[in-house]
Amino acid sequence: MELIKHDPENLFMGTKRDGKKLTCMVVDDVPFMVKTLSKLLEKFGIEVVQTAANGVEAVEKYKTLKGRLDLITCDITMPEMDGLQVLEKVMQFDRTQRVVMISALGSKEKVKTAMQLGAKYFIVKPFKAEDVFRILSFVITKF
Amino acid sequence: MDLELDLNDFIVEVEEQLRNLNDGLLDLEKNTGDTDIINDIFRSAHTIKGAAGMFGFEKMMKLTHSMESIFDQIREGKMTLTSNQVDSLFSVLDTLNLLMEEVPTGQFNTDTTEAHQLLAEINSGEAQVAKASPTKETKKKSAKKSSNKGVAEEADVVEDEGSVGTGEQKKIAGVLGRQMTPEELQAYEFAADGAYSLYIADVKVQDVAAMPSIASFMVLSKIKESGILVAAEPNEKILNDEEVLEFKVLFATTDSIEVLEKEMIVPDIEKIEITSLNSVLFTGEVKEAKIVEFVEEDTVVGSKEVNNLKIKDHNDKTQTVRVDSYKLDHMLNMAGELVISRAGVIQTALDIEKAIGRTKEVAKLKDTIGQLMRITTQIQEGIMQLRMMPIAGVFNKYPRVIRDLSRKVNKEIDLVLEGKETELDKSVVEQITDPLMHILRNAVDHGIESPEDRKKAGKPLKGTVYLRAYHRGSSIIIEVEDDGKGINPEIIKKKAIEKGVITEAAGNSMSEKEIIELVLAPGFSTAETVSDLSGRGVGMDVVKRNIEGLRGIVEIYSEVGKGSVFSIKLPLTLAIIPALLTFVHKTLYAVPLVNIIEILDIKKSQINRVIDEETIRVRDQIIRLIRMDEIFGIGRFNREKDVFQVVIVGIGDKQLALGVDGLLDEQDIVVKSLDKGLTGSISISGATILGNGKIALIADIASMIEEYI
Repeated sequence: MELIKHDPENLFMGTKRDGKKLTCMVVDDVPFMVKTLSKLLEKFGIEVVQTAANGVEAVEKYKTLKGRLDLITCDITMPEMDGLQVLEKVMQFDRTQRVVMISALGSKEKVKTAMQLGAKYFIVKPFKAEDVFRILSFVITKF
Repeated sequence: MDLELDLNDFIVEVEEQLRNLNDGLLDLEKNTGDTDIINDIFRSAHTIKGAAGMFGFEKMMKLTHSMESIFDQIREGKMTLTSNQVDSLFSVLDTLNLLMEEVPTGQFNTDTTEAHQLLAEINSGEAQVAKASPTKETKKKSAKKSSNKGVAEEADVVEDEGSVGTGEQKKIAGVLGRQMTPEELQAYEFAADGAYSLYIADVKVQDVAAMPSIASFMVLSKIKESGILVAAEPNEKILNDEEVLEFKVLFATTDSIEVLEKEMIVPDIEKIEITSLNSVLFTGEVKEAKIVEFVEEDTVVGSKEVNNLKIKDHNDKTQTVRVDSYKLDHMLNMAGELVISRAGVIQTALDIEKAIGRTKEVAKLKDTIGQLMRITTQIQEGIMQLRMMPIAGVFNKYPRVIRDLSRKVNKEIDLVLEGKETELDKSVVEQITDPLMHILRNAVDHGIESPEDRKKAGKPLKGTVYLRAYHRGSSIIIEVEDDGKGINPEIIKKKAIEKGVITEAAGNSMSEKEIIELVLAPGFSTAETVSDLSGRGVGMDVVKRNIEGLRGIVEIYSEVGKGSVFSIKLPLTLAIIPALLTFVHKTLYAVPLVNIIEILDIKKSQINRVIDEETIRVRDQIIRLIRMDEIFGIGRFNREKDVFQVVIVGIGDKQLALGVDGLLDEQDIVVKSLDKGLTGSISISGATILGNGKIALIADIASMIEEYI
C-alpha cells in the first residue's frame, strides 16, 4: 500500500492515499498489552478501530469488520482459541488480510507455523517502538 | 524426475547440443586450451549422452560417451587436439547427426564403427591417456558386460566416477563456500537435469531482527515454494536452531528473476542478492557477467534499514518459451482473418454513413472502429513479432562448412559473421539456408584465391569472407562479401557468349553489372575446371530462383582483384505484404508494392508494336507491355480505351509494364498460399481475401518477368 506523509524518522505511519487513517484491530488476552499496543499504534497514526480479548471475540468482530481492516495484530498465546486458530479463520475469509503476530521470544516454532499459515510477520514481546514501527511499515507498504 | 519421455524434447535438446558441440569444436581449434570452451563441449557431450541413455539410444550414447572422455582428458590437460583430430571429431559429429535423423524411426542403421575407430585413434594419440584413467576403462567394460541391465546403468557408472561436471561442482563449492553433501548433490543433479535454472542467493538479515531464524525460515520457504532448495550455507538446521545473520542459498527454479524478485519480500531482510549460476558454471566468468541490479527504493524504514533486493543476472540467454510453429502459423492466420473482418466492419460503417448520414451513432461507431483498428494492428504486429527469429540460427551453421571447405581446397579463410541478431520471419529464415550456403561455397571456391595467388597479389594469405545481415526499411539485407579475385566481366561475357547464354550483340549492349549477374543465369559455370565444391554451375541460378521465390532480389557487386559482394534483399515477412489492388474487367489483382516502380497513364499512341510484342517508352527506356488478361486469360482488357493505366514493376534491373483497367487502393494483404495444384508457371503467387469478402490474386512478378523478358 502506498502511504502519504509517511515519516519513519518521527515514527509516523502517514495516511492512506485518500487521506484516511490506517485501521487496525488489536487482539490480546492481556488488557495491559492491548492498551500499550493501542497507544503505540495511535502514536504511529494508526486508528485502532477494534480490540478483542480472546480468539473467539476476535473472529466475531473480524467478521463484522471484514474488509475494512488494514491490519490485525494478534497475540499467539491466548486461552481457548489461540492466535494461530484466529489466524487460520481470518485467512479463510481473506488470504490477503495483513496479520502480524505478537509473540514471546521463545515460541519460534509457533511463529513459524503462523508464517506458514499466512501471517505477514511477527513482533516479539517485549517490544521497542522502533521495532514495531519498522515491521508494521514493511508489512503495510510491501504487502 | 519426469519419466514421461518426450521424443520431441529429446530432439530439440540434442540438436541444440550438437550445434553447441559443433560451434565449440570450431572455437577450440582456434583457441586450443581454452578451458571454458572445453567445459562447454564436455557438457554438451555429456547432456547428449544422458539424454540418449534415457531413451536407450545406445549407439548415440556410446559415441558421446567416448567423446566425453576425450574432452575430459583435454580438460585435465592430458591432451591437446590437432587439426586432424578435430576433423575426426567433426566426422563423429556427422555420424551423430545421421543417428539423429534416425531417431524418429527408432531404427538406427547408421554404422558407428568408423566413428568409434576415429575416437579410439584420438585416444591412442596420447599414450599416457590410457594409463591416466585405468579405472574408467575397467568400469566401462564391466558396464558393457552387463548391458542387459540397461543403458542407464552405464551412464550411472560413469557418473559415479565423478566425471560429471566435477568442474561445475568445484565452481559451486566456490560460490557456496563448501562442498555439497551427497543429499545436496542429489538435489543438484536433479535440478541440473531439468528445466531449472540455478541461482545462489546471498542473504543478510538485519541485525535488529528479533528472531533472524524466522526471517531466514521465510526466505527458505519462499525459495521452496518457487523451486528446489539445493543447499544452504550454513545449512538449514543451523539456520533454524541458531540466529544467523548471513547465509547463502543454492536453489533451482523455473521462475524468472522478475518473479523471484517479487516473491522474496521478507521483513527484517537487509539484502537478498540473487545471482544466476548458469553461466558461472559453464564459463566461469563471474566478474565479467552482466549485472542487472534492482535496488528497491525504500523510504519506509529509513536509509539505514533499506530492504535491498539486488538481482544479478549472469545469464545472457533470453528467457524463451518454445511454441509449436504450427500454433504460431495458426495464430497469424487468425490475425489475418481478424484484419479481413476489420476491413469488412470499416466498409459496413462507411456504407451505413453513406445511407443514413453522419449521425451521433455513426460517429460513435467510427470511433470504436478506430480503437478496434489500433488494437488489431497491434495484435497483428505482436504475432508477426513472435514469428521473428534471429538469423543466428542460420549463420551459425556456416563456420563449420567454411572450415571444411577451405581445408579441402587448401585455402585459408576466415568467416566473419556480422549482424547475427538481425531478426526476420521464421519462414524466411528456413528458406534462406540453402541459397546462402551456395553463395558461400561459391565465395570459397571461386572468390578467394589460393594462398600463392594471394601472395602474388600482395594480399594477406588468409582470405576473409563476411556474412552479414542488417535491416534496411522493411527489408533485410544479407550480404556475402569476399576479398578474393572478384568477377571479371570480360571473362564472364566471353563465357556467356560461348555457352550461348547471351548473343554477342546482347553482350555488347549490357552493363558491367548485368554481365556480372549472368553468373546467376541458368547453365552458367565460370570455374576453369568443375570442382566438387560449388558444383557444376547449376545452383547459382537456383539460388536466384529461390530468393525470388521469397520475393527477394539478388545483386552482385564485384571489383576485379578486390572481391565480390552478393547482396540479397528480402522482405521481413512473407505472410503480410503491402500491395496495390488493380483490376482487369472484374478480376482483382494485388501487385506487391515492393515490386512496383511507378504507375503511369499511357496513351494508345505511345505503344510500339514489334511483331507480337508491345513496348512503351518511359524516359528513354523501352519496357515490355503486357496486359493482365494476356497473362491470365481471365476477363477482357478494354482495348478500345485511348488512355489506360500501367503499373511498372521490376526486379533488379528488369522491368515490365502491366496494363490494367484501373487501380483501387493500397492495402496490407494477408497472403494465402495456393493449393499445390494451382502453382506453377501461372504467375500467381497466392491469393488474398479482401475486407469486402472478395478475392484478389497476388501477381507473381518474379515469374512474370522470367516469362516475358
